[in-house]
Amino acid sequence: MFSSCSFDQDDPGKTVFEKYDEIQKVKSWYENTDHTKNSSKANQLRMRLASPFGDFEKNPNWDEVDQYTFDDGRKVFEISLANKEYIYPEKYQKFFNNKDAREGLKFNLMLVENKVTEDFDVFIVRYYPKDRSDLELSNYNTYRSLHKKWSSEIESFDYSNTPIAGFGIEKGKIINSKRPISEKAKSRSSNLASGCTMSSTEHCFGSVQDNVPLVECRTSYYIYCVNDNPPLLLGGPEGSNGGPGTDGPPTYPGPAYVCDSMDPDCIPFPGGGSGGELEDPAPTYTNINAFIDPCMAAQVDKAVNNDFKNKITNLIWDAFGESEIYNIVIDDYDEQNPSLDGSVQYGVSGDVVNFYITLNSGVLASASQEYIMATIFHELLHAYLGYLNIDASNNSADHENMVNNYLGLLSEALMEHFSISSIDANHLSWGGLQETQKWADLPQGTPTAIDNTNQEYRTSAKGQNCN
Amino acid sequence: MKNLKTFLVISIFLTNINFSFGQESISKEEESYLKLRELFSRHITPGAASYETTSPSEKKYSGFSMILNVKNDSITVLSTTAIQPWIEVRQPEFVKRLNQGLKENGIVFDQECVVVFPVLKVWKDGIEREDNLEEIMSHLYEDGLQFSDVKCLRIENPVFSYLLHVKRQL
Repeated sequence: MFSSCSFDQDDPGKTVFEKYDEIQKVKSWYENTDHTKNSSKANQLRMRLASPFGDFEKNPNWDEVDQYTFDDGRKVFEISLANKEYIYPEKYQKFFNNKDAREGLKFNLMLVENKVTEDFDVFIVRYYPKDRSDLELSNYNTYRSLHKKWSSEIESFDYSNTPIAGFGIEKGKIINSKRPISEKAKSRSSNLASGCTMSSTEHCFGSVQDNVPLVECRTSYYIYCVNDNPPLLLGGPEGSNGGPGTDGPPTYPGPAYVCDSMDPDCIPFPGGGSGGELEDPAPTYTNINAFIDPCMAAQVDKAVNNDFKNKITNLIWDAFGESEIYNIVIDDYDEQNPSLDGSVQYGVSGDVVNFYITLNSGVLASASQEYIMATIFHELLHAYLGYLNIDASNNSADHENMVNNYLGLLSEALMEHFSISSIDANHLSWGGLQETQKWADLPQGTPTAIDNTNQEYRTSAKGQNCN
Repeated sequence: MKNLKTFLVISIFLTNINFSFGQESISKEEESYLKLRELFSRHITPGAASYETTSPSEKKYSGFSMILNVKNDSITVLSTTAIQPWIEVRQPEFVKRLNQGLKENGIVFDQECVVVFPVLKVWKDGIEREDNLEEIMSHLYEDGLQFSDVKCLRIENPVFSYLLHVKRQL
């Protein structure tokens, strides 16, 4: 996810200041270097391939920098480009109904550490979303870390805008790949491996002049291979058997090319370094801190883990999973109040709304896992209802809403996680809803039964003890 | 606002004052203060709900200011205006978590500074309450805050938090 100066997770030892200084140095290097003089052998080779367009303006937004490291140890700085000019495959123009395509396209400048020259190699990475649902998800991508729900296409280019490679992505995984060839070479490439074909793509160059989008399209040629698993295609530089080597017939796909960090033109496959597992980014919706009781933290983790299919977890994911505006922060704290299980507050910080869930460790430390989970779901539902309509949300209205619409979902969610009877799950779902109208309408004896069940699970007389 | 101005009488003897109203270009120092604010907002939150459910208030707002001293990678609480019981109880744990958060996030303050964090809590739990905002404004700054021999002072925008819900077992 792009956020203002989001720093390298691999290097927690650095202070914010050190990381900030590093970005400033990279910026200074970028602004004071002539990038058109990149003349490595492989680059010269690519320059002979089809280059759909010449140079285009590159205007990095240095407030949006992602810093990470490839598996081979090279540092990478990925910087958002906010250009008036943009390049994209023609099929996406249709998708955007000929409107200004920039709204859905994400272009980044990617600076990769070159350990030989001790500076950086410059690449352009373009993320094209498949449909509108992928638009926001694009913001969570970096070349190394793709959002697991993101589908569509990534292309990489060198600084002179010569294509390097393209990848089809389905829910964060590579499903096909392509590498450009020249128009001349395409007529000689009859010896293609199974699963590979010749292909061409219309690349369009768009710009905006006087608020009018102008578009010009040209054809690029590719070897296109379908890959079930991490791709074989990319190949490497001259002599590696993985790439064209010369302008002669290409031998695709070559052996899986493991990037050599000494080769400045080699970048790994997107999403997982050198063809390894694609990274599943950590969920961004919740922030479980180091203070929380480990058993409680485990229940929180289960409640928000979207491997589980219950509808409450799905609601939470849909609302908070990809949002940069709404966050949930969960802490535990001894409220020194034996009647209180948990609470939800929210705070607004700039454009961000944080929902703070506090679990009362004074009570829940001795409660069963089932009861803790029911409390977490209860509080998550409050956060969700707040997200839906924050101005109208309040305790009593939300509790009425929960009783009327979410009681069954909460029971199902509990039964997904625990071997618990439907009656007990239902009773736990009623927890905290004793002041609702429906509670008052319950048949005689039922409120007492619900209270008893809750009390048993609350004290671990029933259920799985948490500690 | 008239009352706010009346109470916002701050006597200052210092060489550097920073008001954090509005953010333009973000320096590394500002980045640190933004992180501090984020951590402060998070860790000042727990406790209020407990206080409110133990001693239900009929007033819509409560508020105070916490005056911190930041230096290197730690904070200390210099004082708190309009002290309320739950803040007193909460403070040691709050300080511990805030300092741990600073260290975990690698936040370091090159210059020692006094930071005023006004905190406004708004009860939004559906219960009809008295609008006491003017009264609370006086709690934020009491009869004026005095700072002497302070080389650096920051006055933060108020931190708002809204109490939405509690789950009780009656």
